[in-house]
Amino acid sequence: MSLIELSLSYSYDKRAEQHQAALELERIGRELRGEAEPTD
Amino acid sequence: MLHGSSLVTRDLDVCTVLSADTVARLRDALRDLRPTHRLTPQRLSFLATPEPGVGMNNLYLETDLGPVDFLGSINGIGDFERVRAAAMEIELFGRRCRVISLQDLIQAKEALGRDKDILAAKELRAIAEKQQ
Repeated sequence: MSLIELSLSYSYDKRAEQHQAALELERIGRELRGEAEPTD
Repeated sequence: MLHGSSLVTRDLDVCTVLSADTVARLRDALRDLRPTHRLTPQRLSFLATPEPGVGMNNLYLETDLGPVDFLGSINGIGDFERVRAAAMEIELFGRRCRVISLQDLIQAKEALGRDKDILAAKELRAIAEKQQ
């Protein structure tokens, strides 16, 4: 199943939660690398 | 994201009419999130600027929960009424809310024209094809 198909199989709530989780992982990665937060 | 994109966005864009009344209501709603004007060097507080009774075209804020932009119009699409006319209504966490239509979002990304927007537009087109 492609990423798109997987995402479309989720409810809107689940899509928002997945997005939040991705942002959190990204934030932790930046912290570990000592990088600044991107602006967009 | 709500349309199924795998790309991550870091801000929230809201299309609205920023009348004096709307600005006052936004100020009340965002008060606890310490909103500041993101594009001003002094990071002016949105709670104090603009003065009451003043409307605006666009607002670019930083809050404790992240950046949020309130836009009077969307590049490549049009003003609030135009965006609302094609918007889709969804239920999100128990609340009904309007979200820009997939076709309008594709158009907006293409109008922005940056590499990352073109990439996003390509993915959104693939999503649109999947949904047909």
